[in-house]
Order: sequence, then structure tokens, then C-alpha cells
Amino acid sequence: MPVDSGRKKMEVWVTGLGCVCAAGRTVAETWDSLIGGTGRNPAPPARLLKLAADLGINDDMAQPVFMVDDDIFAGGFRHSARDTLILAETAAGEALTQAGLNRWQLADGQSGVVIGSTAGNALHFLADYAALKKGHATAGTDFADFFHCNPAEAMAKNWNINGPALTVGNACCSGTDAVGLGLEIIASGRCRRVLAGGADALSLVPYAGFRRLMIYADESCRPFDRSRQGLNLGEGAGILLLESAEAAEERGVEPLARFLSYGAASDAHHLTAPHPEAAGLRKALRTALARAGLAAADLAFVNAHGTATPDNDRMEALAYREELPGTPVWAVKGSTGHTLGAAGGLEAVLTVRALQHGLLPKSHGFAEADPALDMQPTTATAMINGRAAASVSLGFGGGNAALVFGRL
Amino acid sequence: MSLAVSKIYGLCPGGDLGGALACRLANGEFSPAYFQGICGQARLQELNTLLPGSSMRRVPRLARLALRTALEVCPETVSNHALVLNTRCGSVGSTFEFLDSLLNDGPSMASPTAFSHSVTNMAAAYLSQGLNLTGPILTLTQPSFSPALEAADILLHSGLTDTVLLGFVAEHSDTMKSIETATDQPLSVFTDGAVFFQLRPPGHSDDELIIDWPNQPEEGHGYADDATGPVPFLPLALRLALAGLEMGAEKSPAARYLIRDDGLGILSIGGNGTQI
Repeated sequence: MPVDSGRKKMEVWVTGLGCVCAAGRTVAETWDSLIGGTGRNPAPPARLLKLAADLGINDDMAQPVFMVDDDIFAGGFRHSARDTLILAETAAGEALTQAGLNRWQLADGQSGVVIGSTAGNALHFLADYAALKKGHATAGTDFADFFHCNPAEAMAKNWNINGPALTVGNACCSGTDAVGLGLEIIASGRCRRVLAGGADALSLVPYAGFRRLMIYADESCRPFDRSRQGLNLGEGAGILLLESAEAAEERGVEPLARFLSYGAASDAHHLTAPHPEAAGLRKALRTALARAGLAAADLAFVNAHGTATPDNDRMEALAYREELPGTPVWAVKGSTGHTLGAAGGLEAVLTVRALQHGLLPKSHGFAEADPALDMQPTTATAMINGRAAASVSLGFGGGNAALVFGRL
Repeated sequence: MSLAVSKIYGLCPGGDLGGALACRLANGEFSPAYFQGICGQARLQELNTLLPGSSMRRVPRLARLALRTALEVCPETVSNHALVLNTRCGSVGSTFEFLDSLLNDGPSMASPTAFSHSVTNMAAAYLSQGLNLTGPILTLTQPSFSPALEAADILLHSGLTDTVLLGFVAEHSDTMKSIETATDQPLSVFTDGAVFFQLRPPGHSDDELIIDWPNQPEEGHGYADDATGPVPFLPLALRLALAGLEMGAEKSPAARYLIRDDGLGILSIGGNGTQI
């Protein structure tokens, strides 16, 4: 039940968007890819397979991933923890540019940064670790990157952001929770602007881990499809520049969307499996809608988590059928892959973009409805009806989070 | 920011803040440098008296540390609470177990259980089940102390909850010590233990224990806890908890725990403050 904190709430606007993912290197490129259906297909991760071979552990790994172009990174040189920071800063730079700001204007004591990440902020320094275990001398680059590339703290340091700097590690919910916290930071009056979103670069550790959980597809993932086999991992970042309406008006900036609300809830059910009745997701959705002062019928669409695993999509379909009856469901992971901690940020960016353009793309990867789900995602680009949209994420550990954005 | 503390509990290799360690403190064994240098592993045997052993069978050490400590603060289910848990690296033991299985057994035989337990919010997930927490659950993965306080303050003022269970948890690892040696990184953040605070917005009573914390990080340090970089979060949390416990027991600002010369924050009861 929402609580009245007694503090006056500030209205929050989205004034900048940035993203980088396999579907595009910018928001415009990604959007064109989703609308035009020209996104790339996932492919076996050559870079990860080479690393595995170098470590002597290559076996039958060839499941496809959605990777960004290596030339996004200086010299095409990649290291896991630093890669995530580079992706976050690339997307954040695009968002700032769109909002008419530069990074040095964030050193005002009124700006913050909240970044969700999973693999990009974990002990995934496999090459250095292998060398250490063998007693070999190691340059320790992977180790050092881990200690110096905590996404929010490193961004804050590099960009002189001297407000709150929070790195959220809520598994696959991380990006959505990070964006939601960004809203709350501004709404509480703590800051005037926040860069909020998610970022994650692919590494061999989660790639191997998800395969061993037996939820990885051998082909392109098919969210909500009858023949869905599981997920494909992806990488990228999605960052929103959030501003108090007051701060944006002072700068004479037009908002891209209103950021209406954030809801979050835990299943308190199981470490890896979602609640079978979608208890946490329902609560997060209801909380977000109530705090936005909206009814389900006000939503033009919901941007689903839609990983294409059998359990996730079944549970989400149940929640949307009963909580958001008739609301169009859009699933983007058939174009981007599951970008883990980045997913919530990326999908929030695309949700705002869809509201801005009044168009809802089809859900790539979906082909045939699953009778057991009794729902299907978007199958063709359509005009949007409705004044708001929700973006939803779920994660390991039973986390559920929902964001609601409003059209202008 | 200003937060009212309802309950505190902490656990570290020197003991727990309700028992052996408190006795050592009463005997004058404590010094401010103590927590910076503690090493070894905290005792977890008491967990058996709090939860059935069968339910703990596969729970990794990091989650046990968190559960052992959080259950002292919240002995009953607290579904309306939000959780903020700071753990820099998550379950170090589970992560290295997965890396070992990947390197030794190959990708086709690597342990899926170790992978699940290596996810950074694993301890928060076990806490949410153990305490039936159905509110917002937030895991932060930061080396410094202040961001978790900031997140708790944000949630308390968001309207999403009126009580936050704020935890700090870290797990000792010999491997991390080896990495510390190999990279010359200051890793005292990997002290073993946990600290939990039950927090509410201030204003409920005249003699409540208040944490006042500056929320303006220093220029050039993103979110620095001091001028040279972040103070490892667990020692700082333990010292804050100790100061709070002593002040709560004595209802006076007699205890004084300096984190650094110019102070980081203030604990106060009824307007009488202690710099920490």
C-alpha cells in the first residue's frame, strides 16, 4: 500500500534518451530497426568462444547472442567490466546531447546517476582468475577493471556528478529499478536531474551460466511464441535523462514524456522461478498504476519483460490477461536479446520513444500464438491509443518492477 | 539526510553486537581501528536457533550472514518493509565455485546452482523469502557506505514504504585476499559479517536515535566517503551500529567514534549528538 511521506512530490520529465544495443548504436537506429524489421539476427559469440578456447574450455557452445559492434570500444579492445562502463557512458552521452546538456553541467550538486547492472559489476574476471589459480603472474587488467568500473561510481567520478550515485544489482530487474529510483530521487526534491538506466556487456560467465540453467535457446528467441525455447543473451545500455519539470522549464527544454510512476514488489517465493500466480508482478503493476492515478484501460501498451522462457512468458501472460485486459503487449527481446541489467533501461527508452512517435512496433521473433497463454504480443506496427505506457521487468530472486510514462 | 533507527544488529569475526563483542567493548578492548582490521569469519551457529537447519541446507554463506543478522532485527515477518542491501561482490564463494566448475569441468558441466547463487542479489532473495518481504527489494553493489543510506532515504520518502530494513553484508574470501596481493587493491571491504538497521523517517518521538548523514559527496569522487576514496562499507556500518547501540543503551552521547578527523556524520538522541 503506498504511503504518504508528507513530502511534496516534484513532477518528473524525460528530456533525453540514449541507447546502444545489437539493434542499433543510437536510439534512432534502434527505433528504425524495430519499426523496419531490419534488425540483425543473433549469432554465435565469436569473441567469447575464442576466450573459451584460450582457456581450454571450449565445447559445444554455439548458441546465438545479440552483440554490439566491437568498434564501439576504443580499438575494438574489450574487457568485461570496463565494457559495461563504456556502454553506459555511450548511452548517457546520447541522452545528454538530446537534452541539450554536456557532462560538465552535471557537476552542480543537483545531479545524480543510477545505473543497473548485473554481469558488468560481478566477479567475472575469468581470464585473470584462471591465471591466478595456475599461479601465473597476471597483469590483472580484468581484476583492476572490476575495482575501478563500478558503473555509477565510475560515471560519477569521470563526469564529476556529485549527487547520488547508485549501482543497482537487482539481477534482470536492475535497469527498471534504477530508472524508478531516478524518478524517486527527483520527486523527493533531492536532485534536479538524474541519469538513470541500465548497462551490461556480455561475458563468458553468464553465457555459460544461462546455458546450464537450460533456459537458453538454440535459435533466435521467440517471446510469447508457441515454440519458444528460451532466451538469447544480448548486451547494451539504455539511459534516460530525467529532470524535474521545474529544472527543464528553466532551461526551456521540451519534455519527451512525463515520468508518472514506479512500482516494485518482491515475490518472496523462489530464488530463480517466478511466482506461478505472478503475485509480485501484479503488485508492482497495481502500485505503479495507482501512483500514476491511472486505470489499466489508460495504458496504450505494456513493454513486457518477455524473455521467451516457458515459465516467464506463461506467468507474464497470466498477469497481463487479468491485470491489463485488452492492453497491447510489446516484447523487444527478439530484437535486442536479453541484455540483463541493461534490459530495463533499454526498454524504458524504447517505451518513451514509442509514446513519442505514437507507434507501437511488432514483437520480433513472435510467429505463432500459444493457446496456453491466451494472449499474443504485437504482430505489426500499429498506431497507439491511450495516454500512457508501462515498462516491466522481472528478475532472479523474485524482483518485479514497473514504470509508467505519460504522453504529452 | 536524516533517518530514525528503530533496531540495530551486527555480526563480525569479533562477535555479535548483542553478545560477546559488546562484552569486549565494555571491557575496553575496542578501538576505532579494530573494525578496519578484523579478519576471519563470523560465527553462524546461532542461525540454527532462528531457522530450521533443513531450510538452510543449500543457502550460501553470504545469505546466511544476512539472515542471521536480519532475523535479530526482524524476528517476525515484515511484509510491509522495503529492503536495501549493500554487498559489493555478492556471494564471493558461490561465484568462485562457478568459475572453478567452468574452468575445471567445462561449460557443459558447470554448476547451475553455483551460477544461481553467484547472482549479486542472491542474499536479498533469500531474505525476502525468509522474512516474507513483498515490498521493494533493492541490492546495491558498491564499495562505499553512503549510497545505501541514500537509497534507504529515497525509499522512505517515496511513499512506497514506511520502514526500510537496511543491510550491509560481506563475505571473507582467501581468493580475494590473493587478488588483493596480486593487484595491490585495498580490499578490506571483504571483512566477513553483516549489519542491519531498521529505519523510519524521523519524527516519531523526542528521544529517537537519529542518523544525520551529509548527502553531498565530495567533488571528483562520485560518491566518496572520504577524501581518498570510499571507506569500506562493512567496518563503517559496524562502527555506526556500535555507536548507536551504546547511545541507545545510555541515552547519552558519551560514546564517540571518529571515522576520520573531520567526521562523516552524526548520531544523536534528543538533540545530543555524537560525531562518528
